Amino acid sequence: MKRDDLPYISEEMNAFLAENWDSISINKSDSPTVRLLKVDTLKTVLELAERSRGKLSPPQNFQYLLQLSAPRETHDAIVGDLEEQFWGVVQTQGIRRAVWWYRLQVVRSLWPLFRRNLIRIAGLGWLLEWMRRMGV
Amino acid sequence: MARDDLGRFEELILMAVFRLRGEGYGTTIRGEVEERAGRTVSVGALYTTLERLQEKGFVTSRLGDPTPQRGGRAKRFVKITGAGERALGRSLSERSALLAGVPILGTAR
Repeated sequence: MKRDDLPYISEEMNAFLAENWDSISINKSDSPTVRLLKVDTLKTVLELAERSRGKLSPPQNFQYLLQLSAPRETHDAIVGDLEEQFWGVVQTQGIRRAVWWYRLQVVRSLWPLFRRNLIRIAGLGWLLEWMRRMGV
Repeated sequence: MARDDLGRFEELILMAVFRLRGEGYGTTIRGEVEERAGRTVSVGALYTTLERLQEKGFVTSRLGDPTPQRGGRAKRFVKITGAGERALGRSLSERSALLAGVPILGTAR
């Protein structure tokens, strides 16, 4: 793991890592025991980063895109659901993967939301029916 | 498709809502479909389907309390209605009737 893998940590944590990175990062020459200790330390760093997430958040531009696309009645629920899952992915797979996961989720959600908006705006109920029949 | 008929995806979502007994919201409904049906569902597709089901009168929703894990946003809990249960039952029994006497697909030689 490189320090770039931790882009959403607080400034204090970043300073701590800068100072201690050589002793925390895993090297090929480390014994298995030392590796385990270092992995534990990194896990702790991630947990602390997560706890201080008042300053952290999922990718803002993608979150904004999702908010724009989602219907007003449900956009809070949609964005909240993804944010809740985002922190779960951070814990299990790390921050970098979680950021990519979030982006992918937003991209995958855009077409259904866009299609729904299109149909609403145009009032084309028949279009929805046709698309369903065509398996779109 | 008649207004009270269920599409395949609507049926999946409605089944997950039914299984969660009124305590399901976006994340848990997606989890249920992914875990049991092995199908990934985008949050956009889920909510547009739930909206359609609500328009048909098959589900109702209520807002929960906002939580910090969700950036201060509330969960939207979804519950199946009596009409939804009837539509789901009808859809499943139609499928069972069609499958009756037919060998399980993929096992016939």
